[in-house]
Amino acid sequence: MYEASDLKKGIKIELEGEPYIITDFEFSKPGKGQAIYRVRMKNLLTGYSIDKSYRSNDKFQPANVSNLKLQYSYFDGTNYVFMDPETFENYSVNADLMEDKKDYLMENMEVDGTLYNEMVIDVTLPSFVEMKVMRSDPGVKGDTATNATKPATMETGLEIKVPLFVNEGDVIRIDTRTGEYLARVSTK
Amino acid sequence: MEVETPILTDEPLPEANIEAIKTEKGFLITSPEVYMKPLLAQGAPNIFQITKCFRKNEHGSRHREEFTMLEWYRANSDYAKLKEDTIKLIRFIAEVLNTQAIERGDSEIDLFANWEDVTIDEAYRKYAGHQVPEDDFQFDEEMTRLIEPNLGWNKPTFLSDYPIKYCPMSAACQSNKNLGQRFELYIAGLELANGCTELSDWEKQRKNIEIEQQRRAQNKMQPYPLPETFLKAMMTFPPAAGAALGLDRLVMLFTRSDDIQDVLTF
Repeated sequence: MYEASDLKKGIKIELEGEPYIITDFEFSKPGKGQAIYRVRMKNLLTGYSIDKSYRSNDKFQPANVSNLKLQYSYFDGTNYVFMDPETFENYSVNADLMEDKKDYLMENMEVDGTLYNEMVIDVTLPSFVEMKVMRSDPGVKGDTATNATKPATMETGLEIKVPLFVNEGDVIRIDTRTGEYLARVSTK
Repeated sequence: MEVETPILTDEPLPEANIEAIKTEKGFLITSPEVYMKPLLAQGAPNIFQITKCFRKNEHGSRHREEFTMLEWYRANSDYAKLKEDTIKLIRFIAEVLNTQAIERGDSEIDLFANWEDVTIDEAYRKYAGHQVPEDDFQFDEEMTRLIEPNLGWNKPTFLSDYPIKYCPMSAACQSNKNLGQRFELYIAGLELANGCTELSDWEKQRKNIEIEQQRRAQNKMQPYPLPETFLKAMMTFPPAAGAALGLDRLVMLFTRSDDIQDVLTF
């Protein structure tokens, strides 16, 4: 159990049956008054933040949240299936949770999973991935603007903007946090 | 007159929300009040000191367990006079520093404009939208969330006339016995000073200290012995007023610091 005075940024607590991470914490104490612990925390299931005030003897249950390495296996039509490479245990992740991330997934890709009561509630992709360009029209000749780009479709179906010199079959590095092209790794 | 009084005490003054740090040989003072008031009772008319104070478990961007306090008392005086002292003191510092205003974020707090003075009752109506709450937690929670952050912008603000239950060491207001002659000073939302017309009725003072002892017991705080030395001295205590000002916070304001750590050497 935590007391309000133990709370700090990054601590995960359970509140009304849901896990929260503390994102901001302020101790205040008016004049001759009692200590007030003002906490901003993010619901790890919904992503919504809330603000609450507590007194020093309020108690909190730590949330049963842990992190583990997972390997992406396959999409079964409803869920994305990941495997713990140490125990070979499979975890199904709801498609909604992967909405913005699914186009970066490649078989056996290693990701960071967040586990809450034995359920994966969040998946963090590696910051950089390397992928093959499946389709991209050749750059228009004579276009010499230095930052000119063209659309390209990756092997996973991901669509991003790439520089004109990138060709089909090239392998490029992409920043998964911004969805931006970073560099060409190899050419066909 | 400048005085120096002990930092270590066997008989700290009990307060329901302030915990002293206990040492092998007694307690560290949470305020020099416990020794300065007896000096007044012995006949010293006007006294001040700058001293370290210690309050257990107070950590934050505005709090440290060890901090520096300026505390002063005037015999035969009241809290209105202390407000004047506070204005003069801060304006004097500003003049020495050649500063007209304190800059905080996008705001400028003009130290030479007329300072604002609002009562607790006005502040709750204006910033919380209702009258002063009865519940202690609600009072403090709304104070820190809705009221304090709004005080002392444009010009410094005195917050005055607290419910008497929050003024165990203060005299009651003459117009309303349910209020105490106590003020706090705010600049840019930062609480800087606390002052009051002191309670000089020694029997009432003893009773209030016993009540604070009981509240401490309810709050599961460490027991203190009754401060008999202090209470005995209070039998000759004159009508007086006293104030305390957090010097670290004052330095924060003049140096535009957001965290008390920035103005400490270690």
